[in-house]
Amino acid sequence: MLPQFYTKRYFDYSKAIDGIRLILWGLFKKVVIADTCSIFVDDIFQNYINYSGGTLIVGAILFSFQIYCDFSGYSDIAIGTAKLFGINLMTNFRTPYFSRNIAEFWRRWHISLSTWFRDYLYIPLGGSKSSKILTVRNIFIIFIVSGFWHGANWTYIIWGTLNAFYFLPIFLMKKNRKHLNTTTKNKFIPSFKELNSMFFTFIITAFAWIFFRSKTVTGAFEYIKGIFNQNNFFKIQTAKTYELDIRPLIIYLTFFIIIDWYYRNEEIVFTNHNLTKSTIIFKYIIYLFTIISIIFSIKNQASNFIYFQF
Amino acid sequence: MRKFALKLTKTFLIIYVVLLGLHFILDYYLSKENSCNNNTWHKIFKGKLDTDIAIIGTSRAETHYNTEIINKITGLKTYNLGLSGTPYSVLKIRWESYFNRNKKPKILIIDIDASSLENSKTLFGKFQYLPFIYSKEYQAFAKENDADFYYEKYIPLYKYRGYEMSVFKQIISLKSRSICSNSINGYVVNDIDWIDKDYLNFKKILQKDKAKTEYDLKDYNQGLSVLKEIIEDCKKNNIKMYFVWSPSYYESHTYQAYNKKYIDSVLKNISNNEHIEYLNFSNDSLCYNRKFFYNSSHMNKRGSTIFSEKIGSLINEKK
Repeated sequence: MLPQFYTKRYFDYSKAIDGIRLILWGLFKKVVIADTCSIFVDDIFQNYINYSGGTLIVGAILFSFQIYCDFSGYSDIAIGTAKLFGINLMTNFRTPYFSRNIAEFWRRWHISLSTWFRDYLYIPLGGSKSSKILTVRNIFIIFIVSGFWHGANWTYIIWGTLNAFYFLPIFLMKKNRKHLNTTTKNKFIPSFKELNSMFFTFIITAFAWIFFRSKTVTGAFEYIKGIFNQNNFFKIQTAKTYELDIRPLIIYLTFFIIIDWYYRNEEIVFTNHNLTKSTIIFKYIIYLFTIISIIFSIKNQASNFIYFQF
Repeated sequence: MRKFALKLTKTFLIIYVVLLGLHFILDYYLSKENSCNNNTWHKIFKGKLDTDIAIIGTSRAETHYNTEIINKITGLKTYNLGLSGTPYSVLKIRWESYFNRNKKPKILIIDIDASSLENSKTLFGKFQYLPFIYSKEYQAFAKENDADFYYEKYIPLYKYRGYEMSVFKQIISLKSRSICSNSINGYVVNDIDWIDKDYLNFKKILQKDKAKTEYDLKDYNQGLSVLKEIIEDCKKNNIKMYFVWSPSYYESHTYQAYNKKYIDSVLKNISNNEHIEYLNFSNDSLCYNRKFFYNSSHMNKRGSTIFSEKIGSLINEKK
């Protein structure tokens, strides 16, 4: 990135347009998805003792979307703003929840930190070039340190360790370099096998996020225990669902997943290569829906980006 | 750079115009007479309210005065302007918009109690006001009390933020009224009983209140100033006024009793000075039977039927 500051920069029209697209999509992720999810997530994680197993599962899923949209929204706004000034920043998220295994997930999640750890920790420790035992040790070190990087709390350490355990079998079976291409390339509908592996990866990731979100390890274990409580399991209701209808959030989440999926092969969201009359109209409808959703979702109280604390 | 600025301006203008269009379409449909709960607001703002007896007050007014019964007994057209969760300091919007735009009533019943006069500037159920925010009565209130007013006025659709489902329900209610609450000329019918669980919760609140050693006298100046404004308006237009303290369940009488006593004395003073009839039902026989209430301060259909008969007969007597 630094050399870009020393070279003379010219205003680049297409780069600036890309920047605006990224800022718009980043705002959607932050204001519409992350901030709305946070209302329900905060309530569920604070009062998990009072809620059914089904509600706690919903809480973990919503937090998965909250943290992704909060952080990737923040990254998109930063990358987009830099593009307006002609500076290219590295992509930080590549549709991680469409990953087919945990190794692919970690190639697509918080790429700037993962590459930093790979270059300055994993490789200096010997990476995967040393013996199997040492490589396993290195994997654990990198995941635990990655957890520790988020804060001095056992919850983060367990979150990191859990991810190391997820990663280990894939590494030992030499499947960690298996999915290097984009999910379901050149097709819109994924195969059942792909869908299955994406779903499984999402579920285990969401499970690990419980530790990340909980204030204490005991709290996290009690939350998990609550999930298996069969009493009124399907009664999905929180104190916040009385005040705030969750249905608009479900519509916004569906829209978000469709757009994230549709543009998964693109570096910049809303990029269309075949510009016909109908694709332009379609794109403007999407812009309009995005803007209306942002306007409808602005909260009276501003909330910080989660990653500001790390 | 120029091309980018032009493209950005063009896109912004197109989107702004489309949003503005959507904004006014929503305003139009949500302010229609047949949309749920906006029925009274629509009549008020369109100047369609023609009534002999008007009743104003909070949710206690809304649920206590059966307009059909009062109309039957007195032979006078009756409309209930009571508004849930809205003390007099905010009822100003309702009163002024009604008074400025509609035929003046012959009689005004002012349902009043201590809590309805407490200071507050919170717009309860703000959604109901949104189609009418360009009215001078709303603007006069919101300019001073709502930090979002100017954003809501100038950013299209912004005022509807967080109300997606309410918008959807109101639009649906234009076709099917089954989702609307049951109301007759502003009187909201609550044909329900006070369930034991809620009654026990009420007892707990009472006990906490009793345990208090110091009582604070709340501020009432905003509510009293609106009350004065109403009295002035009525006097200028020869509208006969009644202050009515409608029944509340007897066990709740000890709750914040000091404040109630104070407001009662203030009302007695105003009523003596301004020659306004003060009908105090706060110790009526209705107060002593739980079956007439659905919570400590609201009567159900059973209670409001008897109460409205009493009010109707009293108005007849004093005609």
